[in-house]
Amino acid sequence: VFQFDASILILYRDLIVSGFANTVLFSGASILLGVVGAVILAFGRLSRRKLARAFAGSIVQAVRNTPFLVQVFTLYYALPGLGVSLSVNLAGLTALSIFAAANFAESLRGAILSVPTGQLESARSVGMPYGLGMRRIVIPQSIGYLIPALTNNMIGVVKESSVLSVITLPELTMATQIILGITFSPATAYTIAGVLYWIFTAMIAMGMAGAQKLIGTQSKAPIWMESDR
Amino acid sequence: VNFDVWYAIESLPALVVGALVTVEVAILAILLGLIVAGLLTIGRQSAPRSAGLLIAAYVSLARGTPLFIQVLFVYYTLPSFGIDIPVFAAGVIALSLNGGAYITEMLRGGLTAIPRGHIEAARALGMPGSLIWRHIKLPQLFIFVLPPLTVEFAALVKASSLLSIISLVELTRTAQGLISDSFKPVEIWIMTGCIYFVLCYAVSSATRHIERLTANWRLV
Repeated sequence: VFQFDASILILYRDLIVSGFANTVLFSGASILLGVVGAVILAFGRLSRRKLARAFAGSIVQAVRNTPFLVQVFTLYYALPGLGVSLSVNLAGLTALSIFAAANFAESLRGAILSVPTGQLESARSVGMPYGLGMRRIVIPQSIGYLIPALTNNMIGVVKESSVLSVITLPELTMATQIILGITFSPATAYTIAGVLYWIFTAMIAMGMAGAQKLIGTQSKAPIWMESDR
Repeated sequence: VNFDVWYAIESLPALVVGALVTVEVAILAILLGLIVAGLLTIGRQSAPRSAGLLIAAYVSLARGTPLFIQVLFVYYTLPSFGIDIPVFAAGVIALSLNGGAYITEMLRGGLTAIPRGHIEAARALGMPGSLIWRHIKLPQLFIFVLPPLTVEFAALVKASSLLSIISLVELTRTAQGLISDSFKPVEIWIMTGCIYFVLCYAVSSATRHIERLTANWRLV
């Protein structure tokens, strides 16, 4: 029968705390790196240059059409066969950052495309260069669409970070597996992990909703959003 | 760099068998997920407020925690309730419970998208609730959720790879088995990635097609 054993929480608190800290660290770093990568990929996909479009498009499609688990295995187990060996931490961070970048890029592209093309065309016709028109005219109008989509993507990154436990990266899921191995009480171990992940993702959702309020834009997200797994 | 092309081709039949299991699991999960979501949506519409809160908590929990944890939770804790289930069933249950939460949100979005005027007009004509559901709500809901459902299906194909951790022999697990025999991770992971890509890309192409088709039927 389902039993929550609170003593586990006290006995293994160090393991849980360090695991959770790593989850926050790795997903946080991947979100930051992902944003940088996403800007490059999104503008690559919107570029007039065929080569840039093909490059950015193939990365985004490859990442979004394969499971994250397979991406992690490929990076960690297959890349050494091609002459590139990455440590667990580096492989994990790279995989999660690329995953974040590809998903953020699609949200960013969608947000930019949600602004009518006439807006940028008018900006260009009054003499604004492309970059300025994007910054002053298009991006501000796309925020209402961008923030909800980005929130979903960020939550997706946090959740996918659990997959990094398969290459023994010591994050929260890995810590849970270790505790399970010692105590044999799956109900408690997974409840602890689940609650911590839930708190973290809920905080991201609230933080982003707060940011949106602060900027003062209305949510313009489509009523259904793409699944964030 | 050495990529054994022959081995990659040789491994293809085994991988395709694994991919069939992946597709089977995803199909079962989306169908069961639809049933879960349908029941939750009916619960939300008709049950008291406390039940609504419970459903909202379930949806939030399923969407706010990793599927990885959910799969392990279902697999390891169901036996402690005295329910001894095979790996395949545990995997499908975990995936359907997770997918059901996402589909519940889709249905909610679809229902709010139906203009109030349609329902008010039907009421003004004296239609009872059951007829309003059958003739006004369900047809529009169906048109509305069809494209996102195909997106969800592709997501479930990808998500089912996580069932390899409870040793359900689908595509990813098949790949792991092949690698432990041949020690050729490069060939196998690239082939595996390609198969997932083909599956998901095909589904998303179908999504675009369905979006165009349903656009003609949309009233709003």
